[in-house]
Amino acid sequence: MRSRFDLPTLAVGVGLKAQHYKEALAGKHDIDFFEVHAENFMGEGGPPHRWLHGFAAQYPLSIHGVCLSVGGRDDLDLDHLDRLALLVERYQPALVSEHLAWSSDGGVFLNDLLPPPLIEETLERVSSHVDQVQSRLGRRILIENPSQYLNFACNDIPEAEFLNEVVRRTGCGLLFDINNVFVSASNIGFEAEAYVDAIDASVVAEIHLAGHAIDHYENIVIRVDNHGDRVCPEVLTLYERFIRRAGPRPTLVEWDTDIPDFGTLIAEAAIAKAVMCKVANLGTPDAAA
Amino acid sequence: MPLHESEASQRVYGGLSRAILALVPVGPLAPVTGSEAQIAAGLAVYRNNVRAAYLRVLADAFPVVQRLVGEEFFRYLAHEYFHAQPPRSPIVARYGDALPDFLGRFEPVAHLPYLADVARLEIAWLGAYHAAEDQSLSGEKIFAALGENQDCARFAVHPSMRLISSSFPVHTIWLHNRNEDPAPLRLGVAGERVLLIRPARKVEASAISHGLHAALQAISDGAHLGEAMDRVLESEPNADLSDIISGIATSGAVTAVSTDTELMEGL
Repeated sequence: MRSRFDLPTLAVGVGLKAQHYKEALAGKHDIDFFEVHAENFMGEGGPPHRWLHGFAAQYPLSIHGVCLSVGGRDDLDLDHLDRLALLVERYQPALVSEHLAWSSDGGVFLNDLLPPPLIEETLERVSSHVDQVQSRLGRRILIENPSQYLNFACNDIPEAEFLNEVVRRTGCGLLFDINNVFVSASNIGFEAEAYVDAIDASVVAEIHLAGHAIDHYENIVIRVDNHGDRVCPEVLTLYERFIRRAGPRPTLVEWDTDIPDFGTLIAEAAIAKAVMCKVANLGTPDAAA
Repeated sequence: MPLHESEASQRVYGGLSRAILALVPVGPLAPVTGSEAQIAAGLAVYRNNVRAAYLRVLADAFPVVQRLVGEEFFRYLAHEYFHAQPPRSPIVARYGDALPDFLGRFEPVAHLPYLADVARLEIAWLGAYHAAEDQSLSGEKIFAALGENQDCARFAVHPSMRLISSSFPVHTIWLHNRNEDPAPLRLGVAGERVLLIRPARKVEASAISHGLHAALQAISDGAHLGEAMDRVLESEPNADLSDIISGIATSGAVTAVSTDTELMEGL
């Protein structure tokens, strides 16, 4: 089984978008790894795979699943798991991840990352799903914390504790999305710092940073995790807080709506690298390299 | 649904998915805390996310349908499609597979009778784009392999090949809008047959004769060349069969030629 040490801890990456393929593959940048959504590469062939082969030859990849519904109450879709396994076999990525979330229920596929109830019953089911995925893929996966917009009254395990427990039961790692923590904390009202401090840092093998939108519904302000902006200062502060405790970790910037030019993504990744270098007393990123 | 499930769990999964799909309030369905306005706002985010995600999927898959009906109407159409048949597959790229049939019975687009076939062409394009890789045989190699008893030849067909048959000039409409040509389009009344294939890096889409369409359909159904030529003559009685065979050979559709020896012995 692969470990987090496949990527240098100081690595920074960006989500790979089709409009950046050419520039990103030309290689005039300091991006260390690229992440793709698994479901965008589940066709049999064609240009998407030709590009991804090009990237896989030059860079470590992170394959990020968004449709497996690991947090669902239904059994996993085994055909979908097979498709993921094929992709992982084809590209041998450094990291494979999915979410503590559900998108399928009763045969309907909602195509969004919905939060499960945080109760013992879900903990058992999610752990068994993670076991099943890891045994099918023959490797460790990472599980990502979702963004929250509703607070279920039945939740009786704090989310950070829930994730730590899934790790303890399955041996999986965590993909810690700090923007999601901030968005959820603002929307449903908990202390983001306490959540960040409660995560078992030793099992975080990747960090996500992203921007979000601030929407208004009548007099309610709600933060929407749309991956459509620069990482906000509050999220960077939380990120630094975590890095101070955990040390540097492979960090990836997601940007999926209103996608900017590649240079803007490089600049966002450089900000993350600078935070890690500062915390690790390595001076500027150039000196660290 | 699991065998042993608590009521709390049932209400979160069942209640939230129903509230997202059916536009009913979540409060009575799932146990959520917060003010009524907060709950409504949170639910609105999920509803918008789900519908926006599927709108994007459709807009990406059907750029020409979107151009033909306009962006605003396309949003409405996507919304109606979503509610007509809640999506069931995690392969979101296939979400639009039922769109042509939906368009065929969707009253507000009844004045655009060709729209469903344009959507079929766009699905075929996407299918060709994502199909497995393979190597087409050159015309020269195909003719060499056909040999003496060409009627007994069978073909392996390129996995990216898709065929469309329409009683509208669907290729002309599609190409004109795909290229975002602002000039007005003069349309003939004749229907068109279309071949989509990705023999190299790009998907190629071309209008082809009825005869070549019948031939390619036949060989991809597993017919030998003799049988395929019978089908050509059924669809286009005056077809020049040597032209059709050249058309097959240069189309990029053939990846291997074999001779049906049993059939040859029977001759």
